[in-house]
Amino acid sequence: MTDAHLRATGIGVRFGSFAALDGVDLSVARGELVTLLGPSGCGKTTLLRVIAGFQRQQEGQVVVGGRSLDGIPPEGRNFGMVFQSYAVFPHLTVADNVAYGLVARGVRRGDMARRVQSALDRVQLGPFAARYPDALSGGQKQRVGLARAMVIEPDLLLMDEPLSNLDALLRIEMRREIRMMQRELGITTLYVTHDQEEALAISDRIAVMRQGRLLQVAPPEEVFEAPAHAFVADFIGGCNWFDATIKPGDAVELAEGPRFVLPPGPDRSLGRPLGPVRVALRNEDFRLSDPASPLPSLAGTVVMRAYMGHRTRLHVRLASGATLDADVPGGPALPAEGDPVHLTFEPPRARLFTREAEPMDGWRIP
Amino acid sequence: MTSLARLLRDPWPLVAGGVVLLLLVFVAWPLAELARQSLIGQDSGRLGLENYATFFGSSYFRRALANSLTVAALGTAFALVLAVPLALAFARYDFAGKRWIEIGILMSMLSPPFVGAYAWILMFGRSGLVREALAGIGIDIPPIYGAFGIALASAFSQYPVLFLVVRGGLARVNPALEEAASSLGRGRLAVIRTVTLPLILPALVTGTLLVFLGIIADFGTPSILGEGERFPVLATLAFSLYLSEIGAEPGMAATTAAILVLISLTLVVLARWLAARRTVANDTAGMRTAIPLAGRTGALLALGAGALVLLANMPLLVVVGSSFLEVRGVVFQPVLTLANYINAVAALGDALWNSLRFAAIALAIILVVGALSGYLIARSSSLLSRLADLLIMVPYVVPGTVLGIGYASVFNEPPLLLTGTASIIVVMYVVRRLPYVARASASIVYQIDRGLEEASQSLGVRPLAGFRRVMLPLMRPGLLAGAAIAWVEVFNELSASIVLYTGGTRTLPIAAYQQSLAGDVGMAAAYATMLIAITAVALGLFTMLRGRGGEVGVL
Repeated sequence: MTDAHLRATGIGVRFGSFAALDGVDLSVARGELVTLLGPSGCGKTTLLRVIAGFQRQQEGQVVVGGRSLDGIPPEGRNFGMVFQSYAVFPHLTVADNVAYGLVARGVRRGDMARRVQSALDRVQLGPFAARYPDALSGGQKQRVGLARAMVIEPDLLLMDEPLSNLDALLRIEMRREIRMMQRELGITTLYVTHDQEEALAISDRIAVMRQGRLLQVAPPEEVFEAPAHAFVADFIGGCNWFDATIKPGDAVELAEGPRFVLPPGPDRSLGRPLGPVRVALRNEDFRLSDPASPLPSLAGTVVMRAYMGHRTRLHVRLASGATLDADVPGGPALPAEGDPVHLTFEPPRARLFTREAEPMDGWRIP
Repeated sequence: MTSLARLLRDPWPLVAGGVVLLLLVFVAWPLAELARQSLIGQDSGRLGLENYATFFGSSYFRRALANSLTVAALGTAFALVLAVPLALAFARYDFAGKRWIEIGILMSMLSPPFVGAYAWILMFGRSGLVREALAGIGIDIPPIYGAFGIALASAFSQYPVLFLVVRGGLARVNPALEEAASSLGRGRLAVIRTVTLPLILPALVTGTLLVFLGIIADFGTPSILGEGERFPVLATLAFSLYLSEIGAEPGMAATTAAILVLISLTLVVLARWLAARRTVANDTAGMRTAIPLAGRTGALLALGAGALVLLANMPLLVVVGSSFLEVRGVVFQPVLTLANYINAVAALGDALWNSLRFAAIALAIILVVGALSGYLIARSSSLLSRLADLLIMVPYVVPGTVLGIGYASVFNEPPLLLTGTASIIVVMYVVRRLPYVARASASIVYQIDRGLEEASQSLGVRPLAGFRRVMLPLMRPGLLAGAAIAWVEVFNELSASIVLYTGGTRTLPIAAYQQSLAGDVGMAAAYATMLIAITAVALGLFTMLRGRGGEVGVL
């Protein structure tokens, strides 16, 4: 990326013998919102804290707006930060909270009042200026945190799981507000979350992390449709995994029985290396069918049926003893628990990974 | 950034270094010197365990050791019997007069233990009011001097600590656990035995330890109720060995002090081991609502608790009351007078002014150093701050008499010639009460979200300014609460200042103690009442300061 506003290169952080971050390279363009997504302990918060200046890295460098951050303490960086715990000062009013950073910048009194008020209006907290935080709900507190971080016109906005402490409906509403405000103001933003749905909904690009490394940095669609790592496929969207073997003629044979021939992809030639592979199929890739279907099909028994509104999840045990989840459109004709079922899938839906979890290139859905 | 610039931006390492230095000089050094002296033979001057051999070879010294242990164990047992049922009742039930009874419990903490001891003598001493009255109707009870009296007086002055700690432990027990036990068919007492007590065991152990350490370290109570040499305990023994007018034995004093510290230390280690072994992960406690008790049960509970608390406060009432009575010889007359106060003020000298001055200066230092070091303990894991954490807690197990003797033997020559000065008393006050404020401040800091400081920093405010603008306002209520307790303790301090004072640095507790021991009973009562009154007024002030919340805003 040529127009990188934030560029982190070769970041390494170790806690004793544990590598929290290991050679992480990440660039964020001006005005872009990038999420760091991964399970807890993957290093996403550590990376955010390195960029904020609260965690010193042993290796690598962070450059923002052409300025190296080496030796610059957090208070000298001019980054807004939003915390999972809100970190709203309980002894200050809402307005004083928002003014806190402006005071440190020596903003004149009249100017300050105006900027505080407009920041509060932006997060719909205008009427709450004189209240103390303990009179606010969690969502309102986080709006204070947001206004406080935005009002200093930060060079970079860092958000550390800002919505994790809110309930589900409010999370969805707040993430839309955050995204709209971020676009409107064009603030370059790094956003940490462990919620894949939130990451998909809010990001320009998602950086998926595991064990201190970046596995894939790509737009949401690409991360979902063309995962660069078996872990990415599993973490985002969830997958059912099957052991399989590639036979001559690009035929894939699942250990469970069915075989299918890989369709030619854009940059794929026939004649892949023969041998064991892992096949990933998402829940929604399966269809109920009859045994005569020409598509590859798996036979099993419904162990449990969970109604989820617009879909129903069938937990199916295959003849081999393995289980899978299939999400099928709801309807009265669905098999009951204990019924035998046949599930088919379109071969192009199958994603292939090597035993080392690397994707076998060319397997993307047009 | 140069290291100097970094220190200016973030001076916490400097603060940690300063605290450690202070504690090394004023805690580690005097104690190390005492340990050294205890290992140098009193007679031979040779290095070895000669003094310890002398100690355990002498039946008098052995008796002092046995007395100390007996009194502390008995007193702790009494305190447990008083405090645990009260704590259970307070944590679980609402009943009439609960607030007043609570104030009564806390009132027992207001005065130094020796004042209570003196009051027991006024009631049950050789010519005690109650004892005389009982003798008048033909009931003869033995005077209260000795082990039983000391244990009883100590228990009444120490039980509030145990009450507070145990009630705190009870408040943290998830009520759902007790409800679960009841729903499984256990009766009320069985629930307490099988669920509640095991869960509050760590608090119970801590509280018991505090009481035991308090009693075994106390100098005033055994000195007054033990009639000096007749019932020696380790604290009074160390004192008289060090300051005896007929040939002081500093080596033996050091040895006695060392044995006292070793006992305390052993108990602390034992208690920590016990508490750690039995600490169970406490799941998050739900809201505990006390069950209102109306009708006969409630009235009975209130009556029982009220009677206990009234009994515990009898000494206070007797002292205050008798301070206004005329004295003839050593006997109070039923005539109201201010004569005791007139005599007391005439003989006061600088004692009151000294007490106020020393305590105020010490308190200011305790607040600043306590707030800073509490913050360090909670937030920094550097070697220096861990060392500070360790050193700060040492005076907690060192009896005042021991620290006093240590100071007297170290600071009596250059480079730090402090004996006889006001500074040595102030420093001693600071060191003895720092653990309480530092601990209190650390426990508040633990509860404050680290994100607040990071938010402040990310908004462009330097760490030290952030500490002032964010942390201090949030720590203030806790600090003031800690300061209130520290004031009570410092203003009433006796056991170390009795070793260190000289004519010019006599304090009010010393004056009161001296009159109680062998002086005018009326003046003793007057001094004690002055101590109690000033402590109470100061506590009222702290409470007002705490109540006045609200922050001066920037807009």
